[in-house]
Amino acid sequence: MRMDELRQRIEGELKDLGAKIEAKEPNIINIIIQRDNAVEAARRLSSIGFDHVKAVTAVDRGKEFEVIYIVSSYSEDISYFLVKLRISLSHDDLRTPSLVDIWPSALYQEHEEHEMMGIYFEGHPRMGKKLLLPESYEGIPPLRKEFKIKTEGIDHEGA
Amino acid sequence: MKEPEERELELLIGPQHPASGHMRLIARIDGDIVTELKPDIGYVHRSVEKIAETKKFLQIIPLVERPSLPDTTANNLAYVMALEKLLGIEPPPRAKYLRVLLAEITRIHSHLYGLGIHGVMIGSSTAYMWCFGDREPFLQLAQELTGARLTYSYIIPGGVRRDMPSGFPERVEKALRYMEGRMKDYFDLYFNNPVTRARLEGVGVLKREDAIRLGAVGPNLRASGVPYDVRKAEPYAAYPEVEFDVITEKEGDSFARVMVRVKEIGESIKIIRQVLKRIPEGPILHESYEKLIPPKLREQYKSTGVVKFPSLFANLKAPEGEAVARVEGGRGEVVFHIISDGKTSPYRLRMVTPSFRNVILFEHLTKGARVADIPAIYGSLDYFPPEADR
Repeated sequence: MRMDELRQRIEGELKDLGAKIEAKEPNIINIIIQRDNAVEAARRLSSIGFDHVKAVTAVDRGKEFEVIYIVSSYSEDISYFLVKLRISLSHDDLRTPSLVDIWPSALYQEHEEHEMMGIYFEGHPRMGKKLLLPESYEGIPPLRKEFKIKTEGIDHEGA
Repeated sequence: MKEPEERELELLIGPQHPASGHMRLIARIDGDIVTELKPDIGYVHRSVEKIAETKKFLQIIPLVERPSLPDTTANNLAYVMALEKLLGIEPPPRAKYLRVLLAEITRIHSHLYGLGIHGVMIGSSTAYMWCFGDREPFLQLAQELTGARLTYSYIIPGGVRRDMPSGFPERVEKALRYMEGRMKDYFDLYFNNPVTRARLEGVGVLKREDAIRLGAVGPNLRASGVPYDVRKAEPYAAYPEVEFDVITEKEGDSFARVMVRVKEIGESIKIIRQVLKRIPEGPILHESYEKLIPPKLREQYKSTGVVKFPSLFANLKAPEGEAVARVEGGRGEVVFHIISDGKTSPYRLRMVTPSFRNVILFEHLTKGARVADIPAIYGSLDYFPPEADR
């Protein structure tokens, strides 16, 4: 499939969900979606053939957080393309629906972004449990910008 | 006699090296049958993504390599490719071929590592010794090319660090011929051994649709009949210019996963021969970076083929933006997602490794398996805990 065909197809499928779609790179389609429509958008992308999640990246931008699903396909005709499904969240309300029912491949990655960024994926079976961090860890989710790591050696800036 | 209240037992395997590296498997068993198994990971988590936000772009190369020790080239390459997208720079053709050369040497020794560990997990210490012994020629080749046995940091923005030393192609060819000759021994003693077959065939079957649904990667995915390989899906470096087959198997069992790795060693040998035949002459570093090297050191670079980093590299800034790069490593697809705000460190770096993608398979494949099949399945996934934990 060609990029413009795929883009048209996605635009057609997601038109009524208020998705903002743009493509600046030759094989990446950016989709900005409201969290309330994320599950439906995922379902429709999955019906086009986007069958697995390659990465879930959560980003702390201060007042705003963003969750980016990098989705693609194992079918040869569209495996060249990546779709970035982007959901913006406000710092005061970091809940977003889990997409594991549609993409089970997101199970571990949503879990990781939950414990590292403090985002709550509604409907994910393992919320509140630790994945990589020690059971005893309490405090700010460590990938947040407000969590500072202490550095040593030549990078050390005074005691 | 009173009925026992519960039939099921909880069995804890690990975290002190149940097989290869630190992780714990929490299994519920009913007699000899596993009813549920959950991998408990994170024992070797080292916060690569967080640390990356405090390190400069160049310092991150060794950082992202370390978690996947037997397969460092894939992480090195995927990270640098993402960075190059941000920088808007392409390496010269010779550097692209050298990247493929090292990537395929690494694939061979990474596969031998996985096959060897799997061998000892199902009780064949000979397979282990042989694989680890035969890894050695490839480690030595990599060392000759890069200066290190495993932690190469060979691929840098705009090129590679060193050119091939003289006489290198001949020594590579010698190692390739040796490996081809050894394959027959492996089949006679190990792969066609009735014990090996009995331990692996029909064990831990991953169906095609489940492999896709669970997002499996690498040989584990291809052994279930999905011909996905990043080198073909989104070809990078010099891969568009070499011919090779994507190896798949139909059965999806532990044996099929082993066979994909074995046959991929053959494909890597094919690729390396083409690379050595077709590698173009020319620079190994992009000219705009070469210009930054002070004249004296530039002369040295020209005569020895070893790049001395221009000091400006230390404060390399990536323009604001976002980049994703994927690479087919030995264990499968590596994905890097870098978000830059124009400073000397990334604002956010996401690193997704093949082992982290494959960890879900532990839960899926062990359901209904026998306890003794756990190591057979574990080993067949070529899972590497530090790589998953990052």
